[in-house]
Amino acid sequence: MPLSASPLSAQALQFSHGATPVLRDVSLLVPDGRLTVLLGPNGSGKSTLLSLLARLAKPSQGAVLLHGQDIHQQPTRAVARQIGLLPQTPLSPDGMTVAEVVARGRYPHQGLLKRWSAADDAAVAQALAVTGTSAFADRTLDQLSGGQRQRCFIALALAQETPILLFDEPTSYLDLRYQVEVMELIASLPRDHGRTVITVLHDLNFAMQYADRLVFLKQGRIHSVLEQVTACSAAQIEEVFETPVVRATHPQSGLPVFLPVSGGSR
Amino acid sequence: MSGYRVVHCGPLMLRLHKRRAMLCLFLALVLLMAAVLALGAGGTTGWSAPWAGGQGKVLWDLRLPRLLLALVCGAMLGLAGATLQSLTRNGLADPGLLGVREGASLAILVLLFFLPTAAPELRPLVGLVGGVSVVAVTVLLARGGIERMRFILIGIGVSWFLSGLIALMLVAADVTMMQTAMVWLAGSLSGAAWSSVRMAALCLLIGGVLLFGTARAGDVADLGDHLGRSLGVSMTRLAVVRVAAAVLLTAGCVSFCGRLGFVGLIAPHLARLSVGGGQGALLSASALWGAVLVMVADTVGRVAFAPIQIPAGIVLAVIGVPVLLGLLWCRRDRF
Repeated sequence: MPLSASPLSAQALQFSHGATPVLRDVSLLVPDGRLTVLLGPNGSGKSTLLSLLARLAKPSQGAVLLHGQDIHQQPTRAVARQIGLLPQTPLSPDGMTVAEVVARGRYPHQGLLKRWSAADDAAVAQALAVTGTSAFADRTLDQLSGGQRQRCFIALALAQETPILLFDEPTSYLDLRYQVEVMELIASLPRDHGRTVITVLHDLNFAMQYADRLVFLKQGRIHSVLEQVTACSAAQIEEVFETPVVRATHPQSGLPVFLPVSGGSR
Repeated sequence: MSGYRVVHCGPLMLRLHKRRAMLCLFLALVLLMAAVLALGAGGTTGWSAPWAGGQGKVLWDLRLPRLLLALVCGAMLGLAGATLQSLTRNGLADPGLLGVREGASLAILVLLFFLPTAAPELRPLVGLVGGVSVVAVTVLLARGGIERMRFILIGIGVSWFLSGLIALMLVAADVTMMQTAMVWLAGSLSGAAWSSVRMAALCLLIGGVLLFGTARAGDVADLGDHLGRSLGVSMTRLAVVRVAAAVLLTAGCVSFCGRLGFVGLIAPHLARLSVGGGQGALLSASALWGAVLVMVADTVGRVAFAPIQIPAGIVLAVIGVPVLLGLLWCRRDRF
């Protein structure tokens, strides 16, 4: 893949918490306009990799390149116009309405004098519409269900109008219905809106159904990258997650589904 | 988006929340009317009169600077309290939390005791130095995010330690000195003069510019560390600026009128309950509520038992404690 088709890339990243290495020599090209899912067991470094890509932390060695330039050499604000993030646990400030929270996504586009513009209004309205949150735009966050709240924070990231979006386990703590709701929304972003999306997911089968591309991490290294989800085999999953699984095929989508083998934990 | 109005003024473009803007305007009007009433309150009869010019001179030389100082100090405390509560993400934080108040008090006491002839204009500077050095110690001891419980606990610990030192100094001091110190410490505005009004207003101006200037970034920071940074806010720099502003406001206030408790704690809560909204609205309403509280407390203390004057800090404590308990009771599910 040529570098020009990859707006964001990691080059030989090393990162450690104190003396414990979390990422060792991780290199990754993120293709433009596709949904990349990071998968791997707990502690494999998925969230750390995502936070390095989001410029939340500095790698001890290596670099994250945004349009070919080291992300830490670029101004914070310029990066904020390129990369949006949905963290694992955003805080919802007291008494703020959905529209007010989403409007904060406009911060990197505003200035000391230009504090609100017609473009801000348009971006917020568009973000609310895409995420299906317009109907409760004037309600406060504490009046919403978990799925609705998660969609609001996705709307905030969309209002930021960045070509690249990073999501950190966007479906955790949600019921099945809301997981589907959120994943459908995320999958529509590259497809219908041309955004480049990278998300960490815990649920293997959700990853299989929605991803364009799978990146497996294990013990702080990239274990493998699959450009075709259908190429994913049971042996691969068993190797990464160290647990036996069987591969089935989703009767509707034809995509792989992995089921644990009961009593088979090694 | 409902409730907002976009305002264009030359190159300045912003949007105002109509209801909140009206509420703040209303609060300001109430404050103005109360101030006019307070200016007229209290006869001259109970006053021993060291002046010669009559009522006009009383108003101009005594009551007006005292009233203005009450308004300015109240606004300073309201702003400092709102900022510290946002920074620590803890609704029970107040300007006394980081040891700023005790640090400034102690520094000024040292000045009063050991250099009694020093110009009173030095007090705010000395108070500022005391407040800043205590915060520096607290930050060094806490090593890490200001929103962590550790930070708050260390702040409280440092405050208690300094309170002990203050008590020790008072015990060791001679009686007349102690009397002066006690009245000042209790939070009294009786020493107000035009010079202190001017200096306090300068502190308020600097602190206000820093806080209102970073209000939008503060709104973004309220979404959490990660989201704040990904939206382009430099979180550490923002925290440094806002802590510095809060310290300046608190230390300045202590230097002019001693330890006025509860205002910094309660004003932001009243602001949230009455106006709500983001940092801009919270700061405006907290400043207004702080000004209302200190002015009312000072006027009550001045008039209620005339000719005896009760320091505003004591009036606030007597009214403030039940309000605090009520607040805790109403929000018992959250704290």
